[in-house]
This record gives sequence, C-alpha cells and structure tokens, in this order.
Amino acid sequence: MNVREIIGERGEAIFRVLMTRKHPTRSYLFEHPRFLGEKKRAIDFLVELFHDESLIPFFFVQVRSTSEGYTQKEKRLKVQVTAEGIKRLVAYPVPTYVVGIDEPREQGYIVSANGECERGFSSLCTDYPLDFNRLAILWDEVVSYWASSASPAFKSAFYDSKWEQ
Amino acid sequence: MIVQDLQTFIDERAEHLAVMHLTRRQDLGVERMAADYSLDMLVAILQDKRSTGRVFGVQVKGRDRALKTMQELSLSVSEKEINTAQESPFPVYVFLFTMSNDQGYYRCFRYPQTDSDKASGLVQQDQWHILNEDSLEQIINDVNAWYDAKKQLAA
Repeated sequence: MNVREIIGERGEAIFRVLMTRKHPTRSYLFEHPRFLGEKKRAIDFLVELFHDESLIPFFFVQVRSTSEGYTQKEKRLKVQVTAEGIKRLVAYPVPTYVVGIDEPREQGYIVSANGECERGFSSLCTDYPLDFNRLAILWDEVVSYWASSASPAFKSAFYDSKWEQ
Repeated sequence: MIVQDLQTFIDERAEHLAVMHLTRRQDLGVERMAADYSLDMLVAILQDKRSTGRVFGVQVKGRDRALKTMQELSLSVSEKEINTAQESPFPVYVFLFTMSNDQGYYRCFRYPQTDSDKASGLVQQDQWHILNEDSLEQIINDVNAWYDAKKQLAA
C-alpha cells in the first residue's frame, strides 16, 4: 500500500467517524456511509439518513483527503476535484456533496455539488466544517429535498400483476 | 433505531474510531478482519513502512453512553472472550469507545501464556486505561518488549 492509499484509507475512516457522530440533542443522524467501490467514478459514498420508515433519504459524496493542509491566503483545504468529477456528480438527480478531509487534524469540510458550479477546484472552502450544527443542517436539507420531490406518479413497465392484488 | 440495530451501528462506528486512532501512527499497519475470528483487527508494527513481523490483535467494542466511572468498564469483557483470546499466539488488546464523546479506552486481553511471559513479567493485565497517543506508544512498547523477551528465551 503506498502513502496515497494510506492517507485515503485513513481519510475514509475519519469521514465515517465525523458523519456518524452522535448529535447532543438529535442523537445519530446518518447511517454508516457505504463505499461504492474504487471503480465508481465521481461518487465515493452513499449516505442514508436515519428517518422514519416511510422515507429513506440519501445523498452521494465524493471524499478527498489530504495531509498538505491549507492555502495560506484563504485557508482553503488543499484537495483537488476535476471538472469531469464535478460534472458527473452534478448529473445525479439527488443531493451531492464534496467532503474534504484534513487527515492530520482529523477534520472534515463539506460543500454542495448540486450545480452551483461545474468547474473543478484545487482547494476546498472551509466555511462548513462537519460539526454537529452542520450535520443537523445537512440532515434537514436532504430530508427537505426528498420530501418535496417524492414522485407517486412513477409507473414501471415491470410490475407483477398478482403482487398488485 | 431498534436496540439491536443500534448496537450493530455502534460496533461498526467503534471500528472506524479504532482505525482512526491506530492510523495516527505511521508505524502501524491495520488490517480489518473480514470474518469473525474473535478479533476485529490485526495490527502490524512497521519499520520504514516495512513489516517487522510483529503483530498484535485488537477486539473493538462500542457503547452509546459516556462512562461515569472507569469501574463500568469491568463488565465489558466476558470470560468467554478472554478464553477465546487465550488461544492467540500474539498479544491481544480490547479497545472500547463511547459514542457520546468518542473517548477510547483499552486493556490488554492477555499476553500469550508462555515461559517467556513469566520471564518478561508480561502477563494478563485487566486494568483499563484511556486510549490516547501516549498510551498507543505504551502499547507498542509493551508488544515490542513481549517479542524481545520471546526472542531472547528462544536464543
């Protein structure tokens, strides 16, 4: 395993720990992020929310880890995401995010990747650390998305008529 | 979440916390066990990113609430688990994490009971300690001391 892989693996563990922290008043908000495999382009994790059984909201995340720290001027985390990666992420009709992990400090930062910008970047904004408050806001906005976009009109061609009865 | 699901969730989270703690050190390689061998992780001690051949096992546990006193930890390891660990040919530790504050604790399950253990004075220790960077250093020193004593007796 090379150094980049070790940082990546450690970054993933930090990401999982940060996402699944127990909120002081709202308890656990997110299920364990599920890794979608090395070969899945653009998306690294699917994250389901703890919610009542009638709706299971989820979102996709691309995670980038670094041990290189922050830019001097704007204190942005030095992680890169390509324009192609962002375009693919944006193409999914579900909430999508990029999370940057500062591996030595064990901190994470989240930014929306829902079409605000389709260019890549070489450093990530640190305005939204993955703390309790941001986790709660994230939970609320993802629930809000799914609650408003439920599509009861969808009819598949592959229905089982006996099951229907 | 029902209680059984909650414990499964907590156990998995505890494993990620253990990986996070162990990988703070560059001289440890962590392998999570895919199957249930009564061990959750095998940890290799590295030197210059190469294996030294020295390993120790870790069993990971999690609990929802923070501890009020360290005495609460005494019930966290069953006799059955200790007996299972006794068959291990290398030192085995148990790590426990509390989810409310992500605090880690550890104790040595046991060092394998051989003549070398008696000579080195490294025998089963049932004391719990707080897991932090200093104690991780201590664990590595103890494991290395156990392997050194074993090597000396074999010579």
